[in-house]
Amino acid sequence: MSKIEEALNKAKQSRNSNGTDLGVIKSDSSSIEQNGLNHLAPKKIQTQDISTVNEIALMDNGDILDNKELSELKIIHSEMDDEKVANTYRDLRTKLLQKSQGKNFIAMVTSCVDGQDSAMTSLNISTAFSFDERKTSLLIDCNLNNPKLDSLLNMETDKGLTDYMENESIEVDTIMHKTGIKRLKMIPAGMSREIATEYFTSLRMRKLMDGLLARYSDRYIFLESPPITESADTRILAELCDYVILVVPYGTSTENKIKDAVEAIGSEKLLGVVFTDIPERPRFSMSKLFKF
Amino acid sequence: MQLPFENVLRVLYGEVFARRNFIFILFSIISLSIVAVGSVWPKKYTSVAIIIADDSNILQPLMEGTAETTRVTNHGANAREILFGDIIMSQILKDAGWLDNNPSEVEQAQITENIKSKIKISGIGRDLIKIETRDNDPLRAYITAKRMSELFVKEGERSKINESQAAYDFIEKQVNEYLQKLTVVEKQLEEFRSNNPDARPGTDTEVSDRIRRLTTEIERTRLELRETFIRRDSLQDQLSGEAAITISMSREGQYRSKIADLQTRLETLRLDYRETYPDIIRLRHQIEDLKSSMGKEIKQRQTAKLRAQNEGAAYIDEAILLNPLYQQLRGEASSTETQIATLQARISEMNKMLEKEYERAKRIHGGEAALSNLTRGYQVNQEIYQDLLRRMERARVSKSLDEENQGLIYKIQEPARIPLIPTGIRFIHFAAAGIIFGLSVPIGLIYVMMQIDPRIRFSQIISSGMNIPVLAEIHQYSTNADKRKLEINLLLLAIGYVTIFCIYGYVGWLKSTGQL
Repeated sequence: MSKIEEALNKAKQSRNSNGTDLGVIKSDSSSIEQNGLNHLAPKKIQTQDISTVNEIALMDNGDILDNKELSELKIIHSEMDDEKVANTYRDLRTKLLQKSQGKNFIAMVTSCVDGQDSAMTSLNISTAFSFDERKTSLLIDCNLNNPKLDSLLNMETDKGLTDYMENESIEVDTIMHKTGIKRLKMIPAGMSREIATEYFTSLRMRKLMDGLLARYSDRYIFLESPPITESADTRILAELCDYVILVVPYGTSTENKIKDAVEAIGSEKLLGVVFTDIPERPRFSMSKLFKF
Repeated sequence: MQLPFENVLRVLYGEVFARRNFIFILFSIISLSIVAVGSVWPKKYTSVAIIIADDSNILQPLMEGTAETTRVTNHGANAREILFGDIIMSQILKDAGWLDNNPSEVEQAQITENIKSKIKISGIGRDLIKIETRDNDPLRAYITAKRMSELFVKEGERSKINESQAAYDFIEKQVNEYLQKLTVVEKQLEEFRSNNPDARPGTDTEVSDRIRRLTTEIERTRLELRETFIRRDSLQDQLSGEAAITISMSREGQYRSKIADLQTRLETLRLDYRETYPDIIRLRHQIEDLKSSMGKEIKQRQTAKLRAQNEGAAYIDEAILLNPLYQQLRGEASSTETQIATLQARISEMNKMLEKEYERAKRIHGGEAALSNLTRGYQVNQEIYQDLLRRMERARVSKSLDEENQGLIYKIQEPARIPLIPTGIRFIHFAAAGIIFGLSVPIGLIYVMMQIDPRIRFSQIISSGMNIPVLAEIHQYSTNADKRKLEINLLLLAIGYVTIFCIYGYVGWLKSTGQL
């Protein structure tokens, strides 16, 4: 445990200290993926979108978490021991892109039950989008009462969505935080605790969303929201976004609960269900046994 | 919605793995408690003796139909009746050492019931009787089985002999009874016969035959009598019309007729011839001669008549003769009279005989009913008596068969042995049950929970059952720290299982060496 804590603390420190560094990519750990993707990417796209790629490459990603740290945070990365989970998220990304026909979108991730599953899923989906170096993703924590992304990313944030809504002097850039994952930024719930449903119905919120979506055509926005069956906020949020992804954790929800959630979302926005938290079944192999 | 079994199994596996600690705890509780029960479970020893009831020996075909070998259809039930009897049970109590502590009567009865409950007697097939005794003490089980089989064979022989003896005695008694009856009937029959000599079979027809014959005879005789009367009458008629005497032609008459005859011839000749014709002369001479002879005759008769008158003697004229026809008729008439008398006598005689026969027939009819009654009784008794006599002989042979131990024989086919290995539920069974139940109960509980719990564990229910697209199925993602924790957990579980098996082994070893 101490080791993990050490690593996390180190990561936090470095991120905080280098928070304002501009454009310098620490390419030690991420170069492999980048190179790999460069190789695989079709040449046409490479020439066409070269400016975008350059722009994204120059983006300030802050202090990048290495694979080990990502693993500890249960965030997918490209060099996982068990590639199955990462591949699942990649498939999910492909499905979403197919659905949107390549256009960027706002997708809300919600769950039927309370818990970390929707936050975890939204984090990993946005991470999967950020694997692609021609895309960026933005994660907004809309679970104002009970924000989870900060702790999941092991971050301490100051200004967030509520602050932006309350104080019109705050710029969008100040609430967008680096996550330590390349091409993934995050807007936390915020420090203000005076929370009203009206935030999400306000014009400012709509403007924010439109602005975020319009600013970069390769930015994909994910909203992490409280369980839809328990929160009115989430239903309002569903109005603001293009797609809704319903997270159903294994062995937690009855059919009726899912039906209620689907009804609340409405069939036109619901993209589908992500069935998560399936218990891991150990596969015993001889080599593992000997190693053990 | 019907889920593929493979999916169910996969999910079950995941659940089982996730709840491995729960399974281990339940496993250790269940298996250790079962082993604890097994360690104090008493050992049971079983000794088996098999008795063969051999009723198909070489004698059977030889004695077929003559002797009845004692047959027992249900050997098992029979054996139970014999073995659980007081005689054998008290003997067993003594021999197996139950009476060493001098138990009271009540205790003895309890022990007897207890032993009975531990003894299993069953018929195997048709001929075999299996005696199984169970006891905590192998030696006692052995002694009980051994003594039971021995006593059973002995008792079986005894009862068999008794049975055939009883059968023989019974039949003999019956024979004697019938013999007496038969004798009585025979005597009655004899008496009746001597009183009624006519009472023979067939007398009846004989008598009626005789009556018929007599009747015809009488008829015939009567007819004859009537005929004879008619003949007598006609004879008398003839007799009255006939002269008793006829006058015969005398010598004088003969001469005269001769003369007349010659005279006629002379007359005839004179028609043609002269007097001188020789024939006429000879005829004349002859007539002359005849005339002179006639005169002489007349003269002789007159002299004889005169002399008879003078001397007073009867004179019978030669010329007078008795009529022969009259004579004959008279004779016939008299013989007819005789015949009539004879016939009449015969008729009266025959009538008398007929009457006698009638009387006899009447007597015969009365006796016949009594006779047939007596005869019938006699025949029935005789038949039964003969049958019984035959049976008695067979019973005698059967009895000697049984006495010489032929016929149904109880033999000890497989003698009891001292059991070395305990039977029934042994420790190894408890150990196996501990493992099986220890694993199957928690896994079964998890399975039942899965089935009952309405919360969704299968993505197919969402995709196929509810028609909502499932975009992805995401498994739990473990960090290195989680993996390390899992490894430690698995190691601890392995140690736990090994410990439980060690306990198994230790308890098993203690059991096998008899320390527990």
